Amino acid sequence: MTDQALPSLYPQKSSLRKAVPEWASTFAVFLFLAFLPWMHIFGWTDIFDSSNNFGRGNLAFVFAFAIAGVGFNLLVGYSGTLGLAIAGLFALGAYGTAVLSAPSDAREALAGYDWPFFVALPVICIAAAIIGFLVGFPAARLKGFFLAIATLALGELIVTIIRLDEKVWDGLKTNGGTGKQVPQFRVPGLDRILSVYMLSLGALFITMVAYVVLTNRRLGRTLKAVRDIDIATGPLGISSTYYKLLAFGISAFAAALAGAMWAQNSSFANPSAFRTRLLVFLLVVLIVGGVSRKWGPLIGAIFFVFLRQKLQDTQKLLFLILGITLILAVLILPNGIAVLPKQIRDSRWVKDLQRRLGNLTDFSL
Amino acid sequence: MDQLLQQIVAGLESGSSYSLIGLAIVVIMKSTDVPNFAMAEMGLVAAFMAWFLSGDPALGGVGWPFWLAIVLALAFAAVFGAITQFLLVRPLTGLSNQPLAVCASIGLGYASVFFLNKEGLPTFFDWFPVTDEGFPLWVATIMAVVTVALTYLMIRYWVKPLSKVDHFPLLLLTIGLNFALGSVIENLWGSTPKRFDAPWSGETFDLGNTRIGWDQVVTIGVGIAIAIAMALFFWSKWGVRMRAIAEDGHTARLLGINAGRVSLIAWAIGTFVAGAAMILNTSSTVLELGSAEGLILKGFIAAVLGGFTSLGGTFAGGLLIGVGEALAGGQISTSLQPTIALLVVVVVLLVAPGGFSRTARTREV
Amino acid sequence: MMSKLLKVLALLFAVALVAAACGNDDDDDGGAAPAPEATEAPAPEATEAPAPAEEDMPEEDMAEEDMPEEDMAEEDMPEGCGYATDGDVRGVDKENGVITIGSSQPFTGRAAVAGEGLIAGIIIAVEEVNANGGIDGCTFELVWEDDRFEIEQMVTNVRKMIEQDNVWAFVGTAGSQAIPSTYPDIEAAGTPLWGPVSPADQDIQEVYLTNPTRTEQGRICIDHFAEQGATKVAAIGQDNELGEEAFNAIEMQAPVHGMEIVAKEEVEVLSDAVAPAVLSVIDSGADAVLTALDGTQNGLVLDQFHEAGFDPLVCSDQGSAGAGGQTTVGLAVPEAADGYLGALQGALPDSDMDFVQHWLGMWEAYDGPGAESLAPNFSLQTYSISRAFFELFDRLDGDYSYENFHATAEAMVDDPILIPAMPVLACGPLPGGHGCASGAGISEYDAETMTWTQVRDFLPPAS
Repeated sequence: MTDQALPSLYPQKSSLRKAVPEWASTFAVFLFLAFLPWMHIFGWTDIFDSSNNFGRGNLAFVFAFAIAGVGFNLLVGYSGTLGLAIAGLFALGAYGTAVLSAPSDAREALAGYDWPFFVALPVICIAAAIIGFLVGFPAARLKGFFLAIATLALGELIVTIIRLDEKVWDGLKTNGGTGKQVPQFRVPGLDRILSVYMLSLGALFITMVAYVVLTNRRLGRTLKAVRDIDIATGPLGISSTYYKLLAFGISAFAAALAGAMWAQNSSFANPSAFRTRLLVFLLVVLIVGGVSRKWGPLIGAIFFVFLRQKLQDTQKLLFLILGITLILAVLILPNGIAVLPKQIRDSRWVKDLQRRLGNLTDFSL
Repeated sequence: MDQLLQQIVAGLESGSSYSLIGLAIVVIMKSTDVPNFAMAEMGLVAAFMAWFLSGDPALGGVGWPFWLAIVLALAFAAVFGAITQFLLVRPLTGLSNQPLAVCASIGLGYASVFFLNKEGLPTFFDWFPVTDEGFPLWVATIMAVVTVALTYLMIRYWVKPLSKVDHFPLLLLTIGLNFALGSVIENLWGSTPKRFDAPWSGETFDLGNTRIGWDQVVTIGVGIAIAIAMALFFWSKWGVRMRAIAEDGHTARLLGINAGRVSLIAWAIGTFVAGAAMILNTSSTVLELGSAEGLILKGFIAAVLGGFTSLGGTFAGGLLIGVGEALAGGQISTSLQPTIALLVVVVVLLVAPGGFSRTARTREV
Repeated sequence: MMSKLLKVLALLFAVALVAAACGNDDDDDGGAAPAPEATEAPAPEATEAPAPAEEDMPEEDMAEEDMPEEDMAEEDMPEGCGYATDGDVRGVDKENGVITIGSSQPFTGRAAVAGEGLIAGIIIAVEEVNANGGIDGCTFELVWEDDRFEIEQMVTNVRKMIEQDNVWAFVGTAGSQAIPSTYPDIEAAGTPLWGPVSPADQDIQEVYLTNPTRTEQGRICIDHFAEQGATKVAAIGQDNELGEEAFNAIEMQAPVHGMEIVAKEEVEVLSDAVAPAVLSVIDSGADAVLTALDGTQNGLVLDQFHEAGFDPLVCSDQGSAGAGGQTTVGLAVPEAADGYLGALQGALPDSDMDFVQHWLGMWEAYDGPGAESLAPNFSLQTYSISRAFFELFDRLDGDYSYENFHATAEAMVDDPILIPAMPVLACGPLPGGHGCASGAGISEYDAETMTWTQVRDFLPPAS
């Protein structure tokens, strides 16, 4: 840990940012998004044309990916713990809400336990958080890469259990590799897609508020301390294990919530939707947006859905571009797109340029 | 008994591929501390190359003799691994980013002259309101010159060594590489599965009452041979240097060991081994895009069993997973088969993170 | 010093370029958006033989070629396209006489080989009907999207085609694991889906299944096994709907013939590890095996049976056997693939039936998307399905409201549509009536001549 590294890890807010309270900007963004379906300002993008179901559906996917990204951000960006079980937990949320809220007397592809949606959703998210917490317990002993492999395998294991269905336990009702129909929760007075949109937006809002509260309080600073000076936290009276577990739990909660929203939007889930590919998507969402940035995951999710839809006709190129994006992100933009303007401003040759231009235009009046 | 023997042989065959991928991962991990998620995909590129060179011209191959194709493909694999290290990994470990800057800017410049002149902007830029057809050559050239200059400057100034040794960016880098390579293969050779015939494909012999395929014998035999060769290598001059770097990079460098060259050799060897593994695997099954997907996780699990340090442990681990899967599938239920490897890794990491390696300790990284 | 100056110049240049590009933006007035059809002048060279659509922008190309034909058609049609349709129906452009239909197929990923053949068949059928002046004054515009057999992509494709391309119906959208994800959107929009859908339709008003289900094909395989004197039957299935349907088939049909079920083995989706399942089946001593896997896995199973010197009857549904093409048998050694049985949902692509020869002529002349497909069998399949769709369209007599569509389609039970290369289509009302086709044939692969021959007529399963 060098001294020079510290200021960039704990960036000072600019004076402009200080003038607008953080909560105010957050509320403004969400207010805007809530009214977006009735404003036709993104019609020119086609993909995010919020006046029709296609655009609204895409935006709802953006929100779902952003929710997972926010949780992932807390885990990777703040606690520095490389947990990759996110795709499995995403599947848990999708399947969990589907099975719990489905009618019990339906055919196999739709059978479930008759729970109300708003009971099923928190229950499954809390269950995911507990799983995250329990997994984190022994896993917190593992370092870096070992943890990545352990959690990656765990995520795959969750998906495999979902696929094995009644071979594991009769009451699982996940309908094996065939896939599960997801009963739709309908916000009263809205049509299906609009209801999914609002539901996903609400879930993102809650996640964001939780993120802002958590990271601005003691917890956020502690997590950063855990990330940066892990071993040294003991003497400071901080149990790094405890905080890592907490980060695990919260990110698992967010992943399950995101999975539930994704399933509401796609109305169907099968195990092959949650393979490594999904993990890569979520990594792109997180990394492109910028690790440990508040709006990073949302920006990353918008970027990802936009790119994916733009490459619809040439999907052979999609993974080439996503792959190169990840490589470039690591090589040249380790802090994500969100800080690109700052990075350009701060880079040495732009400063050179500014100085030279300054010299050129330096006539004193 | 016959069936049991056949199951064990089948298990050893697939286990041999897991082991080789695992060994490739361990070699690179030991020398450069990079968890290479793209290992199997890099090997798959070599396997496709071998198929392409030896394949029937009617099916899109070149039609050269099998052995020549294998030698060329493996040589290609080694060079490919070295290039990857030279361009992508070196800059992150504190060595010059000049090679990457030069190669990327020349490559991108060439591609942009060609593409802009012929096609105009790629279709996913169709929201960018300029001409649909290609640009005139002079416009394309100017744009390419700008691209070259910007790319060069961006890489020279922004690609910086990692501030601390961290597996996360490196893992991301290789995940990106993995998916980019998969897409390159799909674009070059299409997504249709291919039959990759080796001279021993389809030949069998009887051992008592059990029929054994020569492909099984060759796969297992080559696996053992490569493992022994690698063990011998680690006692050679470069092998010792490699281990020294792995044990204590800083001191090793002070002693005058050229870490860059050691790492270069490790990447060449690792990719060579992965190429051999993928050639063996695809010639006894089918050559297709997804061939690497299942192997990479199993390879990592084998490496976990070897604690990411022990070659013997990794090799035994891979074989054990292969045989375990085959026996669980054959003796208990085929639906249990996919869970074996996942359960093994979760249990091993939680109970004995050191795997089979004698130094049962987590690596401090 | 020099290098710094160069950097400054480069940056200035970049800024200038961006500025120029942005300047264009204002003048162009959003030129990237496709111009509405009405403003496009009919291109004289695009009359009879439509130019091959480029993969990049299929919609626009297809839109252009419709214009002149519709002009000709209108002259001999006193009442234009949709004359009996009240009000506006999505996808029916009465003014220009164009009906938009859509299709979502996998052109990339593991199922690409099927998707390319499938789309080619639909394009051939649409081009043919347009070249003949359309139906009742209407010509057809086809839009298609790539779904890679993935849930999200399929959902967004269907939404896009409904909302932005305004399709009237989906034709030939193939069966896949992900298709139930599109049902809520299809139901909400009321857009009919007419295609070889699998998993079987779940009694949804909008979904019409034009091919016998996999379960039915599996049952017919077992009938064939029984005729060949097999007594012990085994099944290898993927651990999903595919396998489920095969296991259902074997459980329903084996008792009918008094056959013994000796093994039911599973293989993981997208996995090449078929060995344990294969060894278990060999050990069970089965003399007939029903497989429900993808083409790659089927090829591997055939190979490994052959290597083990095990030679049972092996039969699969048409999709996974690739009957009529080389997609599956091409992956096994010739001796292993010899004698492999595939259920048939329609005629083989080298049949000497007039209908098939007619298609073959067009297929050989065709050079649009999917022309290089290794699976002409899939193309013939969707060509037949599209022809049936156009026949149904003809029966609507100008009333293209969805009420009339469903009423006419469900009346097919009394007046079936007969397309020579596929089973009789007799859709009926729900429940259960939307599985329109019944019966399948069996074909056998001969490795020496590399051809498939039909060995069993189209028959419904024995009961």
